[in-house]
Amino acid sequence: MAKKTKNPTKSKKKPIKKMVRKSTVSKKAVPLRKKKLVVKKKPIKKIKAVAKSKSRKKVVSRSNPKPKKRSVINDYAYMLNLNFELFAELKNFILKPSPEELDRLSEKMSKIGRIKLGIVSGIFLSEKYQNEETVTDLFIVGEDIDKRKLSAFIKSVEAETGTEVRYAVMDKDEFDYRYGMFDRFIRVLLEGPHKKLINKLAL
Amino acid sequence: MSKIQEELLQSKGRVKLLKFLFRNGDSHTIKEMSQHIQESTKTVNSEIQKLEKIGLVIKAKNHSNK
Repeated sequence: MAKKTKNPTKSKKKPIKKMVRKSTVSKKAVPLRKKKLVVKKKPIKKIKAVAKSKSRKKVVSRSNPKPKKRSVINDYAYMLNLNFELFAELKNFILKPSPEELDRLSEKMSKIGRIKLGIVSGIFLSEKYQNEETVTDLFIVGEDIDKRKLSAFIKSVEAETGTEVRYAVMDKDEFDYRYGMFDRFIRVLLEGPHKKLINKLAL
Repeated sequence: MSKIQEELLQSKGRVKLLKFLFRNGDSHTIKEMSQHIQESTKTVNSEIQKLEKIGLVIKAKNHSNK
């Protein structure tokens, strides 16, 4: 008798293996499959008994009042732990610039006015150019640029890149003038490492 | 920011936060971070707590000036 009562309590408290619900697994597998990290194979037979008892338990626990969330926001300042073991790998992974990002950027940029020229440099370029000195990160030549849209655009770009973005905006006349007189700013920008996202001036 | 990072890390906010932290060396309070990356303080706070748990983020010894 004692043995019989012991078994169910044990299984209730701690399942031997960490079980994850099937729905979560399949949900997470979809995006991974898209990226070809996970390959679809023949379906495995369902794990019946364990999954059933698990799901029943879940319902019971959900009916209980939820523990209150702690949303106390403290005043501590946080910083990265430079001794973290995967620090360099993670940094490379996170800061890797991607062509997708630039596509999104040029799409957003084209909405703030009639853009003739959009150039990215500096922080938007890949690692090997990071050390080279650049005069600006974002350079826009265009007409009818909405100031409010521009500042919203810059804000969202800064939020996504996680840092201040140096930028310059001018209209076509000013650009032509500066280009014609070999203005230092334009020269350094166009001679240094840069990428043209929008180019309707045939430069 | 690329889709690959977002999918792998499971959240856009997390990618933004990590980008911000890797690009800006100093220490920052949760309020500052949420302003910079345009996410709510709640999101930033919960992400920071998770990152602190795994040891990627630590509390700075001196408070940054407010």
